[in-house]
Amino acid sequence: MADGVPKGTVKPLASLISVEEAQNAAKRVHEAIEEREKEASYIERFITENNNLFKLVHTLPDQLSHPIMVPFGKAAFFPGRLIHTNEFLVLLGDGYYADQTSRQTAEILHRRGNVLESKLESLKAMMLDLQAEASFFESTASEAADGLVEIREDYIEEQPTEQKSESGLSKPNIISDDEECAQAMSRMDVLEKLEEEACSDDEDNDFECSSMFSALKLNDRVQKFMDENRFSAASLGPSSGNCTQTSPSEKSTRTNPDLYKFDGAKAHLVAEDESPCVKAISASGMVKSNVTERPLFLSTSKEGRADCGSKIEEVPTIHHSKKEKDFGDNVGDRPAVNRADHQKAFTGSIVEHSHGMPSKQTSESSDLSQVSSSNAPTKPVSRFKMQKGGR
Amino acid sequence: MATSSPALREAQHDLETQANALSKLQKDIAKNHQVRKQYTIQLGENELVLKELELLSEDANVYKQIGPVLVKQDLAEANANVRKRIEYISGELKRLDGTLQDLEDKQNSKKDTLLKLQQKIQVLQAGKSKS
Repeated sequence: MADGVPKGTVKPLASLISVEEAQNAAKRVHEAIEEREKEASYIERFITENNNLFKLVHTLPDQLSHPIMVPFGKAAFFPGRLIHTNEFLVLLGDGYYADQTSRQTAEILHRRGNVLESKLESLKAMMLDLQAEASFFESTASEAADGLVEIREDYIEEQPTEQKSESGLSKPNIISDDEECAQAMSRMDVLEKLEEEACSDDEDNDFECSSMFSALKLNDRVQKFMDENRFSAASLGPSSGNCTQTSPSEKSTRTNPDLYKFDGAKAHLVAEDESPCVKAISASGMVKSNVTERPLFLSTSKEGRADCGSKIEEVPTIHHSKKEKDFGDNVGDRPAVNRADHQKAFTGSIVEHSHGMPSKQTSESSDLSQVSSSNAPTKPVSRFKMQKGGR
Repeated sequence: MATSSPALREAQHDLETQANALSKLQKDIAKNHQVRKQYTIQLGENELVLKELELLSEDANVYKQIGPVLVKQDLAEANANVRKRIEYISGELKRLDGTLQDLEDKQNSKKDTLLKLQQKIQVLQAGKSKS
């Protein structure tokens, strides 16, 4: 993993934090909590005593004298009477006493009770903090024990640069990959661009259809490149049958298709067809915000919704769900395409990616969801593709 | 260890004395903490007393317990006494903080020296086993 993705590091959590240490920390925190609990119970006892005393002080002056049993020594009592029931000698603390009436005493006790309550409150707050700490330590320990890994990846690249780097990465690597694949990929790129154009021509039906048609043809070529060439021109024929005209933009793209790469496609779109591009641009712009996603896939998929399915077939694995929803007529073609694409996409070792990527993917998916919730499934697949290219 | 070189023996002796010093320091620190805690409690109590004394009416009888007897005191006098006591305790707390800081610094330096000594001994022992 680490060698495959140089920008991230994966370390088992256990190597950073030993399980025993985390457990020890948790234990220590628990001890601290116990201490606090003791203190709290102590204070609580004080509070109840204080309350009892408060009641007693209140009731004592109700009568002039109270008959009581006076303690005499340790074991003896003798009967007596409490007189001066409204006079108290109150311990203020630190050896200071004061003569007070019942009411004054009650006030003092009340204040004392307030102080105790506030102390108890602060203690409880402390205990809550400590408990949070303890649970954190415990979870860390268990995570370390479970063999959780820490994945670190520097977030440096901004969206625009990211796109460039991606396309730059994928191209050379494709070449380094097996030739067939490389060719197929470049074809795919062109096709995607074409799709985008077609999509941008959305409102203009003729353009759209024609571009789609061309895309289909290109697609066929791509398929031939692949070992598993499952979907033939014939199968595509019906879906694309209604598109007969050739759009200028399509022609231009066809003349030198290899020139148009991911980034190029967008620029091209903007330059050539002004009005229709609005859509494509907006879509691609949204895609940009999603750092790791391949822009074209997304944009095509987005627009693919509006148009018919033949375009989508080029970028198929990405679109499963969407295609199904949007393009009923293409259903027959789709499965084959999907299969082929799967094979393409998965020629690389995907398992590795799925391991290394999770944190990234989740963040991406959140990004994606903003773009379009239906696009979510596209992300992992395209990512794999990209990764494969990068390998 | 009977075969250990004089250097190694000396180092171990050194380590022992240093460890003893460190444990002594730690005891001191613990004691200091204890005293400090007590003082904090007393400070809180005295502040409570002061509050209560200020709330008392002018002609209230105030007693101070000295040993087994209660000695009657003037309210103003008691007030002044408590204030002085609070001042004293605060000063004491500050002093304790200073000494505590001092002790902790010493403890850290001792720990460092101990670590170095341990490493030295390890090196010595490694050399011994090799030769």
